[in-house]
Amino acid sequence: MTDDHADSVDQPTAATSSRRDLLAQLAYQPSRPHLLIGGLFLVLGLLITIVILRPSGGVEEYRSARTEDLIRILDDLDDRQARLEAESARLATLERDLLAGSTAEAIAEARRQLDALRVMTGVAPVSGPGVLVTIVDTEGQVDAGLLLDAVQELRDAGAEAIQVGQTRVVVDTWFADSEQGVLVDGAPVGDRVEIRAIGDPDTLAAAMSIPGGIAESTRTRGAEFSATTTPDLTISVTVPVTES
Amino acid sequence: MIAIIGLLVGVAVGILWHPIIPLWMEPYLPIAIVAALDAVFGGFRALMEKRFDDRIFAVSFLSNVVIASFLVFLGDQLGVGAQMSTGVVVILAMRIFANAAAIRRILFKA
Repeated sequence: MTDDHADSVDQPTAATSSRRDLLAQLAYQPSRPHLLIGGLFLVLGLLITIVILRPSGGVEEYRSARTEDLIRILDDLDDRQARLEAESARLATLERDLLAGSTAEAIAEARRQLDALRVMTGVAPVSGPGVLVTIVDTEGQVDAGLLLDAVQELRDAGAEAIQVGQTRVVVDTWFADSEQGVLVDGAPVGDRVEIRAIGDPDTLAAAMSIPGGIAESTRTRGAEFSATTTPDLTISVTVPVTES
Repeated sequence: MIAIIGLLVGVAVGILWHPIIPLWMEPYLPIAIVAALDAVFGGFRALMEKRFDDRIFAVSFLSNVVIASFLVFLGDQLGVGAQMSTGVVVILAMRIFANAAAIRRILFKA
């Protein structure tokens, strides 16, 4: 009985107190500290919204870049502009000279272009600074792909003329794997491949020795690789001219 | 409760009003947000430990934002803006994690 009674007294009390809490919450009057906290959270929400909704004008890449990166990008653009302007000025001068009708200059320009084309097509011997690349491959680990990569790297680095083994590399030169080793234009290159490239020696040598580049992958395959820069290299092999 | 209402009102105002903030303020906004979040987590922890004080919360909120922004400003002036921003964010994130751990321990006893 007493227990029952106690229960019946306790339960209403608990209910009343929770109801009173609820009423207190409903009739809640914000006090100053609460308003302050609410205001601070309002500021926080506002900041987050501003950052998320930031207008994304311009290129995203530049928006997030720091000052130093932007300066570097700007410098690159300036360099490029200067180069293009120089090229433009050179061509404008050329145009003027040619239009002015001086035959001598027209001939000189034509000759200059002819020389460049001779080098490019491989009908003329070339000499000048360059690199001499030697690959000694006794185990037959060097394949056509590697040599082609080497030639491409040299071309990308600005090589004017390239010779692989006894073959002048021109536009239609081909590389293939065969039982006699790698063939270049049908001629086997043998165990000791010599690649001569004419161009800026330092750039060419750097192109060979970049990480993961030709030098590294050749050595990984177990072949010897060396690149020597020389101030005077000669490519005497030429491609026979065929009339078409 | 008032905090959530304030947050929602802030977001709503931001979306509706769409304020354009001056360019010079832009680098400081993310830092200010992280600093404010640090104060919020600190306040929540204090609430859990039943020693929350609204004055301390307000002061820490504002001073966090101001000091963090000032540090980044100083870093920019010294030419180490990127590193300084990273440093400030790392420190604040560490504090947030520490506070979150304390809150978790009280809430889940784990």
